Amino acid sequence: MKKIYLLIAVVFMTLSLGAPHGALAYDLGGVQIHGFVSQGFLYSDDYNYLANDTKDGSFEYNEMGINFGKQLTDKLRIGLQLFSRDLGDAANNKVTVDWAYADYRWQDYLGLRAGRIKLPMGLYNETRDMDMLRTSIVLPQGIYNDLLRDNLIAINGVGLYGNTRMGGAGSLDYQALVGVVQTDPDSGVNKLTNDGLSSVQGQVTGSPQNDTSYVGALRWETPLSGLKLGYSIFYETDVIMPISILDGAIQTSFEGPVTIQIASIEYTWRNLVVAAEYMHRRADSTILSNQRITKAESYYLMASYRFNDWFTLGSYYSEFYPDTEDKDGSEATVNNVPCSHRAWEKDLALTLRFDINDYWVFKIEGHSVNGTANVIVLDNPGNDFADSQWYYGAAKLSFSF
Amino acid sequence: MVLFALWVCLLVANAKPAAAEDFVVVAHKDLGVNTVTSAELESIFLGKMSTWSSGEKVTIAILDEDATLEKFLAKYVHKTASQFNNYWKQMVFTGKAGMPDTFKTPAEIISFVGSHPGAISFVPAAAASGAVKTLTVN
Repeated sequence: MKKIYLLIAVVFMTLSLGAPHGALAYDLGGVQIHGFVSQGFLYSDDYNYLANDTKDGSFEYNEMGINFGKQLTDKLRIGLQLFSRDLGDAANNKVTVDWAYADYRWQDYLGLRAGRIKLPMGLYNETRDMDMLRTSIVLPQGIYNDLLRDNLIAINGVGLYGNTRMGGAGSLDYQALVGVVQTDPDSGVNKLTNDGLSSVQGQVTGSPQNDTSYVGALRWETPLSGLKLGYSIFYETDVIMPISILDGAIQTSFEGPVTIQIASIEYTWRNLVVAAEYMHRRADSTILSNQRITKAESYYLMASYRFNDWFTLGSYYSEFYPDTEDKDGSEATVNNVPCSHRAWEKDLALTLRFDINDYWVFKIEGHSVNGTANVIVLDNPGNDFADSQWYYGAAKLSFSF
Repeated sequence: MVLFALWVCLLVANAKPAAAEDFVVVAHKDLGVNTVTSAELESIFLGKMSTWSSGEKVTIAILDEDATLEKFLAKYVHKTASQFNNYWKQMVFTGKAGMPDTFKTPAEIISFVGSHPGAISFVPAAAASGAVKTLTVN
C-alpha cells in the first residue's frame, strides 16, 4: 500500500511541474483530472488520540484521492473519485470509491444524481477529506468524528437537488437523497464500537448491516451578504451490528435507527470567516431485548482570517457530550471505574496555515482538550485516565491540483 | 471566549476597504441578453445558473489577474479570490462541477468569450473590444 501512496505522490508532483498557474486541472479528451495528497503528523501528551500511537508521534495520518469528471452533454455530467486514507490502525490506506455518480441537471431548480453521492451534512462533511479546503487540520470531533467517517461520508442511492433565487430573500440550495450507507468495518467504525463494548468484554463480530437512509439538506444564502444558514438531517432506518459480549459467551447484535441533525451558520466578511454548528444525534438501540435511547450533542464556534496570500490564522472551540442525560459524568466510567471526564470533550484549537503556492499547503495546529469522551480506551492500555486536561498537536502538508 | 471575541473584532477592524470598479462584464456577441442583475452574476459565477433566459448554455471564463479578479469577485460574488478558488475546488472534489476555464490575459478572455456562444467573463474596461458585447449590470 505504501507503494501506491508513493506512486500517486510522484505522479502528482511530476504533473505539478507543468501545471499552468490557476488552471488547477488536467484535461485528457474532455476528462478533467484533479487530485490531492495530504501527509500528517500527530503528537499528544497524555492519551493516544485519533491514531493509536500518537504519544510517540505518528505519521499514520494521511489522505489521498484522484478524481475524473466529464461533461457528457450540457445537462449530463459523470465522475468518480478514488480515495485512500490512514488513521493509526484504522483505514490503513485501503483504496475506496469516495464518490461516483451521474448528474443530470434538468433545470437549475431540479437535478437528479444517481450512484455513490457525498452526504451534505453540515458545512464540512462533503469536503472533510480534502485538508486544503479548510483552515483547521482536525475538524471538531464531536460532529466530524474521524473514526465514524464511513458512517456519514456517502450514500449509494439517488438524490434530487437544486437551487432557486428568491428575489430579495436570497437563494436556497436543497438536496434530498435516499439509499444505503456502506460502512467498511476497518475504517474505524468497528474500532469505536469495540471501545464502547470493552466494559462488558465485548467486540464486534462482523460487518455492520445498514438499512435504507434518508438525507435532506437546506442551505439558505440570506439577503445579508456573506451570511449562510444551513440545516441537514440524516435518518437511517436500521443498522445491525453483530457483537459478542462476556468474552464470547453471548453472541448477539444491537440494532436500531439513527437520526442526526445539524444546524449551521457561516458568515464571511472579506478575509474573515466565522462559522458555528450544532449537532444532535439520537440512536435507538436494542440489545438482548433491552431498548436504549442515547442522545449526543456537539457544537462549536470557529473563525479564520486570511492575513495575506500565504498566511491564515484559525481557531475553534468545541464541546461534545456523547450522552446528554449525563453531561456531568456522574455515570461515566473507564474500565468500570468512575471517570467523570469521559462524559465530555471540550477542545480549544489554534491553527496556522501557510499556502506555499497554489498547490502546496502546510499547517500546524495545537489543541487544548478537557475531557476524554473521544479518547479510545483500547488505544490507551494501562492508562488510568486520571488527567482530564491534556494536549495534542497536528501538522500536515498537502498537495492538490 | 472574551479573548476570542476581541481577536475577531481586531481582525474585522484591520480589513482593507473595497476597491473601486474599473472593469466590465462581457459576453458572446450573439447572446440574446443585454442586461444581468448582480444576483444573477453571483449565481452564474458560482455555477448555480447554467442557462441564460434566452436559452444558451452559460459558460464562464475567469481572468486570473489579481486586481480585476479581486474587484469583480468582491462586488458581485462576495468572495475573495482565495475563497472563490476554494469554492470551485469544493465543487470539483465533490463531483458537482468541473473547474472553470481560466486565462492569464484580457486578450485571451476576449478571444474565448468571442468564440463560445453563451460565454461570459469580465475584463478591465479598457480591454473590452467589438469582438464581444458588454453587458449592463442592474
